[in-house]
Amino acid sequence: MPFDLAPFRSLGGCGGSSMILPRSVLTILALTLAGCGLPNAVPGELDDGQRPHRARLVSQEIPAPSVAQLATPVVIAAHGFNATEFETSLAAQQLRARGALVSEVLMGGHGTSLADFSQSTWRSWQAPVIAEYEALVARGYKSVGFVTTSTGGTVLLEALGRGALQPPPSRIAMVAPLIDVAPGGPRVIGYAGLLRWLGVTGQAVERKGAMKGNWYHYRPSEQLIQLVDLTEVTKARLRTGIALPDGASVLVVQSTQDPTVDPRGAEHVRAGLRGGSVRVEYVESGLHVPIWPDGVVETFGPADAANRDRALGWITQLLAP
Amino acid sequence: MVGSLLVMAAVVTIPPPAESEASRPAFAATAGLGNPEWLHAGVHGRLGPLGATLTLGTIGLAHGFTAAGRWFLPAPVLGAYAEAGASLIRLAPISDQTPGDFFPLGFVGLGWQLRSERWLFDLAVGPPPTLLGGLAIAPLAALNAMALPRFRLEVGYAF
Repeated sequence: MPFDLAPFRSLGGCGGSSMILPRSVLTILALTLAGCGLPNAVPGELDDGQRPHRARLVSQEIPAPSVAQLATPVVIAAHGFNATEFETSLAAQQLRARGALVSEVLMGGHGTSLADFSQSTWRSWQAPVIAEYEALVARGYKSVGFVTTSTGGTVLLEALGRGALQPPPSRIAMVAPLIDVAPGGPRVIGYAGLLRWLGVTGQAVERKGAMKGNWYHYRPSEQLIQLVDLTEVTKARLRTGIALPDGASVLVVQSTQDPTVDPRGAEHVRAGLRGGSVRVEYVESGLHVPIWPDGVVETFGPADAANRDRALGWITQLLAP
Repeated sequence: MVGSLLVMAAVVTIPPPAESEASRPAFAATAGLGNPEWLHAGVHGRLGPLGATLTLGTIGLAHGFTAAGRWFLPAPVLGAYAEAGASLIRLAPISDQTPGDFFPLGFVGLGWQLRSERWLFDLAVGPPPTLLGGLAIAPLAALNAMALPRFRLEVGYAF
């Protein structure tokens, strides 16, 4: 999962070993002395840098757009924390099928290697998203929108809040934007500073199915702290209000039993965006990102498929020509 | 939790100070664990049945300043007190954009303070702290504090 801290299952020790942990904060504190530097990358995982992902950017694929292309809606797809463009690939595929151009961005430090990720900050995660938007606007595309998942939405909101996207986009679809982590296990990252002092270098998460190779196996403490900072900065921007252009349309899709982000974040987004219309659609689901491609979760049932179809329908309706 | 049990055991095994000693003016430096001030140090002051504490604490990604007033119960429950106070939480700077706002948390609790010679042991518990001011989007540090009961476990040295 993008930043499936809900279980906070394991803390990486030396050599990539891991320990199963209960959710108790006190227990986690008691086990924190296990950390000792970044682990060696586990073979077959994204972390080892052997299978780097590549962004697919309209600004690079179409260096000299035609008049017709400039009039075609472009959508920038931004994924979540420690994920890759694979997370938004189904939405990208459907948007392309409906005639949109889609830039699948890789956030900075993501999709390459654990070494890259461990050096990244939320500013570097965000930078390629802003850069692609600026490149598309500079080329003259008339309509540049966004589809984001989880932390992809957070970096977008932060950029909007400080006016980094000019002119501001008028079409945005956010799936499970991370504003607050879900109550329970994920909120342990609020103690990441203490854990780091105590020697914990990060968290290892078992990856199965399509997650393997598309999400990092290891989440360094420093990047979890960056994630906390990003959410706090974004919450501050929402508290003061984020201006959207008149006529802007924002769609927020949120699972009601999201184990990773607090579903109330959707309402915080609605309250914090000013000047446009914000539509929040809740889906009865326990999946963090209900538009994940097949294979990401082992138990993907008919109800999940129906939710995904509905969510993708809302997204394409908003963003496709 | 183990620490709390040890202190509770101490409460029932160590005799409380005599009335004259418990109520005299006192000043102590303390350090301990708590919610919301996970790692903290501060001072206690007491004059008769009234007391006050000031502490500075941290949870790594946020720091806190806590002030509380206390009323020590009269005999025969020497050492027991009721307290009310507030903590001001401020996020630790991580980036150049980290918000510098203060977020106030209020709390109430019941506690027990033991003294042995100049050493002081203090345990207070209460319901989870509450965010004051009705802020709609609270910082994670405040959300975490509000998810746990108020507690404070301290050791101090009286001057």
